[in-house]
Amino acid sequence: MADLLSYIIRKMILAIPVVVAATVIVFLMLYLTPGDPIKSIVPPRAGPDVYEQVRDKYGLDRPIWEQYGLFVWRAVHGDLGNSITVWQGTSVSKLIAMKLPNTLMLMGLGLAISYSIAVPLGVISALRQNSWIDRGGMVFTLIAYAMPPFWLGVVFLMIFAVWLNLLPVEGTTGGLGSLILPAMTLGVGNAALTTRMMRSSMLEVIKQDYITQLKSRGLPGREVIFKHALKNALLPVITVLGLDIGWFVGGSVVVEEVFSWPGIGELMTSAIYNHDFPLVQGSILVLAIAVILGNLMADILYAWADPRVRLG
Amino acid sequence: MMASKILNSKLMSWKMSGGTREQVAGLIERSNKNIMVKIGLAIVFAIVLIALLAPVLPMKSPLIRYTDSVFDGPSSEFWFGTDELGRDVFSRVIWGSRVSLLVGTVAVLFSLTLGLTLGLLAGYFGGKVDYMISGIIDIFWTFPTFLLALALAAALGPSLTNVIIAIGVSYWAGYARLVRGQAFTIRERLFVEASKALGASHTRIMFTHVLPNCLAPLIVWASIGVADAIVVESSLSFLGIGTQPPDPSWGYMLNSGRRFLDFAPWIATFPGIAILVTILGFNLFGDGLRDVLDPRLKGLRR
Repeated sequence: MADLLSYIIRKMILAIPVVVAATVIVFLMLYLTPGDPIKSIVPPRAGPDVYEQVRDKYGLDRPIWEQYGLFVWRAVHGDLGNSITVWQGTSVSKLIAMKLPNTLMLMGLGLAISYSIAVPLGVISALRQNSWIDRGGMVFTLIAYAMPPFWLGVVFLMIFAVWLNLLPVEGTTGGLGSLILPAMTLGVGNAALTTRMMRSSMLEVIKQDYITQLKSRGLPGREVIFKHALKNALLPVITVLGLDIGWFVGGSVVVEEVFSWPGIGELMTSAIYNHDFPLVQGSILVLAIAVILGNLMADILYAWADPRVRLG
Repeated sequence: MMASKILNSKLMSWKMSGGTREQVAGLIERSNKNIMVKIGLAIVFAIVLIALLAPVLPMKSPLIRYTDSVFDGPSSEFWFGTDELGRDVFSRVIWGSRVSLLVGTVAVLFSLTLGLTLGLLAGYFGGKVDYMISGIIDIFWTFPTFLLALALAAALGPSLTNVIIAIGVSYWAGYARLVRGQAFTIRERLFVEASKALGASHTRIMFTHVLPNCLAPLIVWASIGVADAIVVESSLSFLGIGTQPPDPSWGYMLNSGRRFLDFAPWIATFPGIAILVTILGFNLFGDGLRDVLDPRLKGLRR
């Protein structure tokens, strides 16, 4: 366990510069905007007193590193500024806290769908290599992988909401029912990659000597697969979990837009439309940190599951 | 978007042997037998041809509004129907291929140049140079790439050039890691030492010995990179911060078409199919080439 602990600490230390990079990038976004940066963070048609106030709060008349320091200081204290257009005056962190559970729910269900497709399909494809189910799975992964989430979402909308009239087309009107389509979009899209990983890793495992040995000892095939092979075959699939999280965050931004699911992605997209710059900055910062923390957790999970990783 | 990351980490662990010319020749020869490479290449070739020929193909202008035929379904006159402004969807899809390919290739060239330079410097010189550059590479590698592209595009404002910059800046770390790892092993080889003894400059060694040895995996990586860049471009355009009208971008067309899904599904469907086929082409080509290069990874397909 000591090696696991030192591994976790090592990984956490490595994550710090990335979090710092996230704050730097989000901070610098303001300076990449064309024109005077202050115009991006004051409400439209604001009076000169508001300009003065904002200039003072953001330290816009001070050197840039002091401005960055102020930015981090405020961010650490949960102050990501205030929304300047649609939600004018509301604090950005409050808005994000309001929408975050929706996004997490969507990603959680999506992840569950992804793995409940990918693991069985990958295992069956590997066990019945070159059968029709294997080839069908291959075609599925190729096509699902070539469909960006927003396009897959539109296809699902067309099939389930427009043609079959089964599920609500958009929004929260249907309560939990309206979560199904966006979660399915994310899940199916992500399953493409995970299925491939699962299949190749299973193929590798069942070729190994200990599996042959178990079989030759007369253990039932089911037991060999589920008790011995699957456990080892799942390990590389866990490594992709970290990458999955990045994929899910990017995917949820577009999928929330397709289905008007009220999460952070939709909040951010509408903020971009409405030129609500503090809200855009805040959402990106929170999402980026969420991905970094998610990756960290996936790393720890992997090291916990596979002791070989900790020593490497 | 993430497959390339996995692919890259796989390529990382893989060393090449033999001369560069033999490698590339062998790659071409074995690719000839690989059905995925063939199909992928055929699709890519067809799309590039269509994109190049768009201005001379006998079809309607993508911008003219046929006000009498708004929301017309597919017909002999309008093959893919017309959109909400009465524009010909077929010619818009064809012209959209130019935007996608332009963004895909230019963004990949951009990140390839950036990644190649930094990766070569870090891997070849090692030591302090490597320590500093690797730090930057690692940060960009760990950072969620799509969010970075989104942040840059949102800050710079929507335009074709800005999308290319945003994607290029966000996706270079993979190339850098690949080249760095390759350079590390190659600089220890005897022929590099011989070159040094003969008085070759660092630049010469980097370009005549180290770089060619990275070439084959870079081709694979770049091919999949183009697919990734097209996905990101269409996603950003879908969100309204990518390519702006009147430039016909598939992502933007899909976004405006989804409002009319219930009575004019063709407006969103055809650009969607175009995206699907294009990405499929580049992925098949890249995946197939990877299998050819390293049969050990063959498990990842079929």
